[in-house]
Amino acid sequence: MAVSETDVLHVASLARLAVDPARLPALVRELNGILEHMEELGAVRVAGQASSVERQAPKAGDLASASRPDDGPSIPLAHPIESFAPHVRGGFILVPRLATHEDQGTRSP
Amino acid sequence: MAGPWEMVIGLEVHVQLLTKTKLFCPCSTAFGAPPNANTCPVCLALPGALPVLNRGAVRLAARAAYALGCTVHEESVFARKNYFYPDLPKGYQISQFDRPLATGGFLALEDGPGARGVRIHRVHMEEDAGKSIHDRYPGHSAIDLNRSGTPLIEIVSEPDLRSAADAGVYLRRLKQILEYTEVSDANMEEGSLRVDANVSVRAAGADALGTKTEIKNMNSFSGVERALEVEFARQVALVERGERVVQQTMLWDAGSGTVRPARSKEESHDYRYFPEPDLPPLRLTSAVLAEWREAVGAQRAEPFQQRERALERSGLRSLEPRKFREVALAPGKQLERGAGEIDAANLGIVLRRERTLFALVPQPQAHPRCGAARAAGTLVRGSARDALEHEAVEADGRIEAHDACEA
Amino acid sequence: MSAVAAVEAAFRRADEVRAGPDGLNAFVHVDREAAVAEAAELDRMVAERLDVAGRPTHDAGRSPLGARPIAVKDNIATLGLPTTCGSRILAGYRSPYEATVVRRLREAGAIVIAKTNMDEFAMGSSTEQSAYGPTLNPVDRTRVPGGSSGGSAAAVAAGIVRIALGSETGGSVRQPAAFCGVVGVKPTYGRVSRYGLVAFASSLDQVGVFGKTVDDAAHGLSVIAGHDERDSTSIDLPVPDFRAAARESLEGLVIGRPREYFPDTLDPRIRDVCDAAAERLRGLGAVVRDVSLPHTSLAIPVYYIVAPAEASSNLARFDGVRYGLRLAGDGLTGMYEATRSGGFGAEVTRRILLGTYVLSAGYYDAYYRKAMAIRALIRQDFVRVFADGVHVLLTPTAPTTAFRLGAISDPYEMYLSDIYTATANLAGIPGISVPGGTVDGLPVGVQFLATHFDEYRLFAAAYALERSLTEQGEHP
Repeated sequence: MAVSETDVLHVASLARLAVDPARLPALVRELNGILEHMEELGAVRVAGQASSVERQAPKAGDLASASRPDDGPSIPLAHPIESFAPHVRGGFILVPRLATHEDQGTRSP
Repeated sequence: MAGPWEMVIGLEVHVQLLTKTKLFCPCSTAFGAPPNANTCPVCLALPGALPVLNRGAVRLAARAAYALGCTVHEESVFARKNYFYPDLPKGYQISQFDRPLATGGFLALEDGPGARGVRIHRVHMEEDAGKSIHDRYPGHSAIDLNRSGTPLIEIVSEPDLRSAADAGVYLRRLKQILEYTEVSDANMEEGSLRVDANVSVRAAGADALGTKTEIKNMNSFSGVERALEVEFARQVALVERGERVVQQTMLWDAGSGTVRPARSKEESHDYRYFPEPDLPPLRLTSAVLAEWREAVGAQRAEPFQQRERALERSGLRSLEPRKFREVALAPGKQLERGAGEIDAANLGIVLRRERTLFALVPQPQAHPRCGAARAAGTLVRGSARDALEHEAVEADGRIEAHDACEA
Repeated sequence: MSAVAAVEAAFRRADEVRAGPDGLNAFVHVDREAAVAEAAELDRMVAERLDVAGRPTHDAGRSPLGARPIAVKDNIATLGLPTTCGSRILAGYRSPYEATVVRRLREAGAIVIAKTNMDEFAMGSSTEQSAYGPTLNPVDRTRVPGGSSGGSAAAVAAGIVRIALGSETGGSVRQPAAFCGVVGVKPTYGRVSRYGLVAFASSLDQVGVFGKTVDDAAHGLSVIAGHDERDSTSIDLPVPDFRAAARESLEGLVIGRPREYFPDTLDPRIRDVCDAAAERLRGLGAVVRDVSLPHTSLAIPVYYIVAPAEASSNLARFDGVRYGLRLAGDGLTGMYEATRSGGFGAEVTRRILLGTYVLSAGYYDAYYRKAMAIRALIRQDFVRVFADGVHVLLTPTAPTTAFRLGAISDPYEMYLSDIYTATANLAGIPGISVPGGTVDGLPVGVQFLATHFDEYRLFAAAYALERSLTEQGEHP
């Protein structure tokens, strides 16, 4: 399966990456150069398609060892959000308003 | 085509679980903190932070699932739902996708044997996003991540509902169950219960489903009912004109009583789900599940109306919370006198519906322990209910505050 | 030696070899004064017999490591020094919390003297893909140190520190260890906490340790290993004293020599180094046996689906909202795109695109699901061989010695540098690279692999090989 310029632009938009049009043909070539090597996987027969969530470690995963009680304390920050966030006001982190936004307090999809 | 037309409704209900801490980090879920005060490396998605599952949330989710008659699976899998939004710090939501916590339940719309009801398709766990406020700073959205990571369950019904009124009954009963079982405040106005509705129309008696739309932005049960009626009428009008219903998301505007299409996103949704590699599959032993199921079973066995009647007899049903506290929860003798025939020893959890008390749950075994944990200074939310509960526990001196409310 | 003296000696050595941007470019963040102050505080506590919490202790010193300067890869969160993953998108970012591995090292008496250079977000095999420019190999400054943990490997090879932390996703500790002539160990997935390690591919990532000697690596790993309640994928198993493996006899140890790791195309001089190592171990009582791991050739294609897929999701958090770089664009989406396109380098961009593609609607089954299924086969290959009585596998660490800076420009050719190491990450098993000899004056690494959580046997084999080479004066 080779990717086209359209595919790359679509994927770039999903990943919130702007692709320089001048760089696009080279990028398509590079990605196809890599994907070409993936083709041999298609020929491999996999009995029953082993679970995609198979874990590395033999003992991972019962509830007791891989969870925590519903309790604090919270994990402290050595310095406050204001010290690393690009734009903070009144305790809020500010971002440019979403262009299509008109509703107040609307939640993400 | 001509009528009569049938409305087909499926509901997706998101419910905030009554945990003290978030789903994947030990930050408080309390409301009312200053913006971003209840955050940590995990729920801020700082580089290198990792999620650790709150087992108390799992227990509540399973309790809800059992109360809805679902099968809770011994193994379920968390998955990443990838999309960009400024109040979604990791760039993905941890949810469950192809292997949810529970499937195959039923919620009766009436009492008695053979009652009509709605099949529950699935119940899965996920984390909430933060809040974006768009009207406070010109040109900016203000992000508050206090809610980011709050535990939710999503309860998805089959498209079994046929009227807006039934949808209302479903939601009210669902809310009762979630309250009785202490899973959630289930308060739509406060956002701890949120409803999205999938609606389509078809000729009455037809088998095939019509094209559905999804309605969002409803903030009361009556709003859901009204929105469904309005959308049904809109779809019927379209079909009767020979036009097609377009699959899209509609937003309910309670002020004007209308629905309108949500602005389409600039891209089609492609969430690129894959199993969350930071969390092992959620494994629950059959012994644990059996214990949880039994605890819910005892509660579930008691019909709603029996509890409702007890409440009526007690004369407490219509009391405002403060009045209730005076008559029912004053220490010592006053407790018994005020509570009438309700045995003080059986006084477990007080639930409220909006501002009116509506139920007393006679001592399901897990509950006094929850109450005790909260009495020990760890109130989940600063609601009237908690305050009442606190005093209930104090009044019943036999309850010791040694045990935590967790799995 | 006091902590202050040890730290000052390390900085003197760093000056001599020019560890900074004017030389090796191994160190990207250094705060000399803070490190010396921390060392002085450590000396005071030791003198007053206080433990790390300032409580009186009866131990002679507070620390199993002694006062020891270490270097830490720039993708492991530290308080004090910045944590930038070799990326412009995290320029100047200081973590408000510390990785579990760093905390454990500090509590054991280590002092972090520098953050080390790396391929951006650990994506690379040469440490050329860094926003800070390439690191040079101290053995030959015209060559790469390997990667992605090249800065840590170079710091150890140059004699600045004896222990440094790196991270592994497909060989990023073992391969640079081989290129620089030091020891590099990648523990079993789940042996060491990932809390505070900036994620590249969560199901493959593991913190690893570089040591000047096998003992240094064993020492470092002993300190950082063990369950961490903040990492749900870390495993609650007892951690053996890896240093005790130095005293193990190799009598009866069964060493497998997987034929897929010695193809006809392998540089015969590298093959000879490995075979000579096997011969030495045989002389110490080990049994060497040919074995087969039939799915080996699929490891790189599988790896380059799984790792970019997870990376595409893990790197979504670098969006300019909460920390790091923010570049203005048209509205919110414009800000996202400007920040991410301006912040990520070419290789990271390529892998995010690749990973997004293989997870996207219509391609998931053909790529990601298939790759995960074949990954299970690769793991089964190892499980079968170890169940058949093989204790450790012996292979080359990398198919080449350190190549010249700029020599490899084709992405896939660079990926093949991990051909003998990525299998262990995919299977979750531990591996170690030990200097085995030289070719044209350049170090060659010999790799040992063992079954899950059997790092102890890895160290037993590594100690024995190192001792054998040293005793005969052949240690590179």
